[in-house]
Amino acid sequence: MSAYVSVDVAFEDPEAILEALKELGFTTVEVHDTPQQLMGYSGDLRQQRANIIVRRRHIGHSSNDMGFIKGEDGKYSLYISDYDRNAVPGKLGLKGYAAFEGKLKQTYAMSKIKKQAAKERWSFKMDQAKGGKLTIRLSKFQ
Amino acid sequence: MFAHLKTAHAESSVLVYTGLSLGEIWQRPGLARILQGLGQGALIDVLVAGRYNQQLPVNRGLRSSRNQELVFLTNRHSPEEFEFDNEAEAILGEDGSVVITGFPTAEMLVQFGKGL
Repeated sequence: MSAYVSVDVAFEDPEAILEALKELGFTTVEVHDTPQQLMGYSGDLRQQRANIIVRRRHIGHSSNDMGFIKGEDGKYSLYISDYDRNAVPGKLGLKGYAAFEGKLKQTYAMSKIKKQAAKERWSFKMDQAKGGKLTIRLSKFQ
Repeated sequence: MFAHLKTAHAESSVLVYTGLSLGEIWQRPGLARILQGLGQGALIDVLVAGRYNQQLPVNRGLRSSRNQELVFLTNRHSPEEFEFDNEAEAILGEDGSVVITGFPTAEMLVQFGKGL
């Protein structure tokens, strides 16, 4: 049946989060079972903790650590400092935090679908359309 | 509505999905008249009839489950045209939105229904 289904995106899969971060250029990432404290730009320990951490030296000169912490519902939330809400999008050539958040979700969804396609043996073909929209064609041959 | 579509867009075909089975349609005179076309020829070219049954999934063509019937009410189309592998498109917006269109298999719908 022809479908038009809107899908909710939530950061639940740590592997797909790592893939998404890698796609965005953050290739050095720490993963911890127990959340670890984040550090500020001067090396100070912050109150915030995270399971998946990009350390400040891999973000930018005056940046703080950013990371994802796993909630009781199994979903991960991004912690990013006020400074980096402006700095990180700029580093990636994006205009504003909302654009960064959208790009992160888009890249995460792409990684998640790619992983699902491999698991379910769907064929996977991706096209980058103008304006940054991604179209993934999925099919299952009989 | 179907009569309007047939006259205003004569070059287009009309394909209708219904959860009703053919037997149920024939028991309802109003619906049966639509299939018969009120004496002006069928108003619908192709009908996919029957409820989706998740116990009988099929991953090919327009039907989602094996109990559904593909009924050709005019000579405009043939069964072979609708024997294609299911293909879906996932459209990932820059704002993080994800929309699935096309003909996903039943298992794709189940997977995406859980969210990403």
